[in-house]
Amino acid sequence: MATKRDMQHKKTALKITILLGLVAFAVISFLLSVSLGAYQLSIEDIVRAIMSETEDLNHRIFWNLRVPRTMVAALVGICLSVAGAILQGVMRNPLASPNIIGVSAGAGLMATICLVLLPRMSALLTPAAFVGAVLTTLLIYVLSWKNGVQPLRMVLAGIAISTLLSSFINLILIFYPERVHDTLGFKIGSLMSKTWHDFYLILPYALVGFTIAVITANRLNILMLGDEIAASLGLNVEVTRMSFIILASLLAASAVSVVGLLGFVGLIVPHMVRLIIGSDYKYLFPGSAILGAGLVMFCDTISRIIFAPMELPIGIIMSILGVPFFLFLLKGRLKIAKNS
Amino acid sequence: MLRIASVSLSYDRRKVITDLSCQISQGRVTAIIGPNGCGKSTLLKAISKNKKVDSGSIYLQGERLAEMKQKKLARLMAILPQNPVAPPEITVRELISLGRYPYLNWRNRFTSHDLKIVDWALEKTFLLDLQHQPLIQMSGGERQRTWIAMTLAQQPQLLLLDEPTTFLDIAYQHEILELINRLNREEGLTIVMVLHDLNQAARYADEIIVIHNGQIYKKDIPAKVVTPQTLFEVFNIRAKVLHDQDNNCPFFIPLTKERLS
Repeated sequence: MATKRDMQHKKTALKITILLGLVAFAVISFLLSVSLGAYQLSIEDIVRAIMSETEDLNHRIFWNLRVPRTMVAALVGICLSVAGAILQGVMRNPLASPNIIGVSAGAGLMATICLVLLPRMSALLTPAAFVGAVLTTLLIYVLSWKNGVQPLRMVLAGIAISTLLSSFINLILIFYPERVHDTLGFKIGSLMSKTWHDFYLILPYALVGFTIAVITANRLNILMLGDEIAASLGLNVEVTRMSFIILASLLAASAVSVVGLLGFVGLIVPHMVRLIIGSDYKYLFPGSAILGAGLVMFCDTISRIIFAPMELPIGIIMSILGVPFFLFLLKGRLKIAKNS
Repeated sequence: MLRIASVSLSYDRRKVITDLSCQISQGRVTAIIGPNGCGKSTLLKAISKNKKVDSGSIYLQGERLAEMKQKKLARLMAILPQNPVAPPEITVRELISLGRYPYLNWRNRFTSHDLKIVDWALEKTFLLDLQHQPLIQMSGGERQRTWIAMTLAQQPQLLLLDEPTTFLDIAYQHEILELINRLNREEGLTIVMVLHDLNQAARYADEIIVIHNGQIYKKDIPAKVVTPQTLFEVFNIRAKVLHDQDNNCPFFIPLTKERLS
């Protein structure tokens, strides 16, 4: 009996250790991100910028450029990863993630329309993106439904809808090129010149979304067992599923409204966390959030230093990492998920 | 325990069950059988509230199913569908723990009582040694035992099983049915299961319900149900029915079909 309990405790301890490891990665990524770039800050510079009040160049670069950008990166990573983790659960499909099933494109289209029609109302940007994301998710859900959500149908429907919505985005951008600055960055996802304004724009959405996700994690665990068993365990399946879809859309939309159509974070991160920590959403959500924040900060740093002083949009780095990972999933993991 | 009152059901807009009534009494093992597409699984889905009835009502312990709170129902009745799915990484213990969901408050805190119930469910299904295994690494029989353990963690009074042996090797089929019978004997669990093997139903059920043409053809003890007449009228096979002395149950052996010979 004692050994069984010990084993149980050991498993929990292991999971917490892994989470701490992820935190360490996130902290290292944060430090790299605030110090490296076209203009390098040494640790000494950073400490001085934090301690002193003098507004010298280092101080301004640190507080007005590096820190807000890094913080935006972290928030975006959290939003996209948690959104991906939710969608993978709700659709019971390892390939579900905001950009693959077209949620990002839906959010992006509404955000673009908002930027063109109401250029001064930046507070409306995220709500508009949210509406676009929810509508697209529902559409994909309906299109891929045939006695349950079929993984392949969903990916195909997602590609079709994504392509269509992206052409609408391009159409708008062609007619109003001056309304959206950094068009390319928006289309592939970029953290260039993100400020405290952007940070505060998505902070509430990220905070609320993540908190709700963690509190309701166990419901998603139940939903993963299929509609019949979930209902038999006392879960209101339809309401729960809808709520999670809305939550994932909210998170994805807040990320898209700030960095544009950044892909693959929501696909890669929840999977990596699932592989190392298991599929219990009570650990999967925090794990995804931490790794997501770390990964986006890390990749953003790479995008700044790889061809320094020229900066690449982070979306390019993310795709180079993400596409092989996607193909790997398509080949291996999809099969396993079907058999069980 | 369970009362079905003139229930009609349709599947894909086709009527499969018309005006069916019956009672299932507490503490017994009831097998529902019938040819493919006769609506036996649909009936089970209606009992588990996963399917709306066109008309009629189903009562569980005197209370109308449609008006029962979902969580209250979850503490009375558990269901194991035909082909349940779970995340591949989930371990035996994790899956069984989810069976405690109807008893948790909004904070989902596990009490020592919940842990004890999970241990009990593991023990009843002989899974204590395997409790930390991922589900994906287990054999079909072990996996099915894990699912049954999950329904046990729900501490139901009524357990519904939809063809619990369909995807299993023959040795595991036997093992699972033995397990179900033992749970019925030792825990007083009322069992209603859809089976498609008539001999298995005759061997393990106290009572058999035969569904034919959307109606109950017969509802009786195995010896009265498994007869050459039933086999011919419902399943369209000519068969010899023998009696197994050891288990005191009938079993049938099909004869060559006349029109084939």
